[in-house]
Amino acid sequence: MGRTNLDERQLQNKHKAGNQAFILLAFLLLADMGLQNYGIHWLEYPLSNYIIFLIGVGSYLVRIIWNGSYVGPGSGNLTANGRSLLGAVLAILVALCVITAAWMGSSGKTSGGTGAGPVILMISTAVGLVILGTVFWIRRRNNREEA
Amino acid sequence: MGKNLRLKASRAAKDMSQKQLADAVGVTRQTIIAIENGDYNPTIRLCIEICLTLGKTLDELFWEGDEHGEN
Repeated sequence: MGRTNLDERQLQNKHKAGNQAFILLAFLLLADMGLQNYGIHWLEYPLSNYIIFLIGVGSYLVRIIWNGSYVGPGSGNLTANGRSLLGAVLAILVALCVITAAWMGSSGKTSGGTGAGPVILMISTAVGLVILGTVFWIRRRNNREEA
Repeated sequence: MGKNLRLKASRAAKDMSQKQLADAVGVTRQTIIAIENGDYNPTIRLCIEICLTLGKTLDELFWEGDEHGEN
């Protein structure tokens, strides 16, 4: 039995959540297309698509994390090099996010752009941080002895 | 599906924690908890792994006939 992959219960839960998230995403995209067709612009593009994407992928992620199907049984702790690399990537992402937000705040919208870039960048970085934190929490919980 | 107290008792008799049993059969601790609580019905493959690890037969750990008076 594999020790690095998800176990059978995790796989079942993951497949179920994945199927339902796919249907939800497809339904929301179709609904968005229908609304646009009737001239209802509930949010400016690309934010509308981004929100739908976040709902679909977010629901999938939340459900597999909630069901304990995100980290497999054999996923050990990161090595020192891995931690350093992860820290560096995170620091670059956060710095990039802050710099872009500050720059956009001082100069306003770029010509031809919608100004949604910094928002998308910030949300993506925040989601990334939340997911990483969750992985560490799951690993700690799974390695804890029973009460 | 009720709680699998026989699995819990067999594991305790072997002085194994949920984590140790989970590591031995290659699943997460949450899966062992779910099986013991009756929240998850394991595949025959996992049942056999657990039986081999605890030195029990499938009947001793997973057969529910006696509990429901069907046997």
